[in-house]
Amino acid sequence: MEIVAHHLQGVASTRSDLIERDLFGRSAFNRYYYATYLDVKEVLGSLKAEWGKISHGGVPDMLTGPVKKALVKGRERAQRASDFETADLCSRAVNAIHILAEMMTDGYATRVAADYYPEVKIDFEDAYNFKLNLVRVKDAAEWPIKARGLLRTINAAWRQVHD
Amino acid sequence: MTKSVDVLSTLQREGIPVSGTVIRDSGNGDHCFVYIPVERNAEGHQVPSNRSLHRVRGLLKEQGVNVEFILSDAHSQDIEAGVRATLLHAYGEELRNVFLSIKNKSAVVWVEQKKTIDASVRGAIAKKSTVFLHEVGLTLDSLLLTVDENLPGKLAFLNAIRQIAPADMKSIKNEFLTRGFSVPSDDWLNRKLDALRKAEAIVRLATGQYVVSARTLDVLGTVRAGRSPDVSRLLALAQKCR
Repeated sequence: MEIVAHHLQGVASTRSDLIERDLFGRSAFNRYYYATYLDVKEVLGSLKAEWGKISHGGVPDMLTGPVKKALVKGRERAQRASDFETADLCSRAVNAIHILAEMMTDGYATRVAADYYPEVKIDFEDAYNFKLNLVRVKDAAEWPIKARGLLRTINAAWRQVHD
Repeated sequence: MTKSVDVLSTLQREGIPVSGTVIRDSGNGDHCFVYIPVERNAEGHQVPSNRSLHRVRGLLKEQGVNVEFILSDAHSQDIEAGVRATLLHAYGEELRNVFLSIKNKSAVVWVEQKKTIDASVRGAIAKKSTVFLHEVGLTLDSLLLTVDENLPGKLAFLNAIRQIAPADMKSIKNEFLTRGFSVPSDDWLNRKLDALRKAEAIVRLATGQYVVSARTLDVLGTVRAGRSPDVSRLLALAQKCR
């Protein structure tokens, strides 16, 4: 999906028709968000099957709620077992959870604006790094890449502490 | 849309700048998002402050609207781009990506490795990050690596052995592979088991099989739930007895 987003971003940056470039631009934001959401959903589902059915709006609370709680508990068990490497990994994973939750909130709000608020136009002042609300497309393009790195850390910590 | 207008007028009255419009959550009608452009004052503090945003959020909640503020700090985004460019330029062989998370005046730098980096390179990356961040008025809180390696740690060993004990090396290896870990070699596994045995975390029986020690059982604890390790252990035993 990222490749589609990237293509749409390129088209939006070079289109001269104002209406068309706005449409391509908002679709690029939408696709970058979906690419990220699908990765997050897949990993959450691999941790616990029912977590894979999470709705868009529920992702940040799911991350900072039950996922974080499980890793904090895991960190305590690792410390009790004198496994300080795993405890450190859990701390990194908890940090990753906060960053990912914040990013998913930004992404979701941007996707809702892109899909349901056509009156909020894309700002093409910088055609190669256009903005929707305050989100720059180059930052949106980073969402899936960042999410994968953060998810790897969360997943690795989970695997270490999971019974 | 009445509520959106209410939100905007409340924010305006409270002196909170807003970018664009109020975005209603398509899945939850009472929940909405508002983009707030934030800046830094001469002392480097965020304007509007988190305190004032928190207060206004409370006011709006009293009016029945659950607002999520999305703060966009162009300055922070530029800093992130700067750190990324600096580190990728210097350590392009070792790093795939760099990103930043800033809280107050300190930053956590996340690096994604292309290959395992040793302590000296890690130290050099931290030093370079510190210098860059100092120039923009921030301190480095920590340098964190995203994880690629997938070897079981001590707790993972103890969890696995507790579940399938008594277990020989082959069963332990299979258990790790089932759990999605990598096991580099039998020699690696053997050395790990030996270290755990010497630390009295596990016991090697005369049959060559391993079990966890009483102390380890105590340390690992249990939970009273369907996903209790005791239940998993019982199921694993039942499977063995088939």
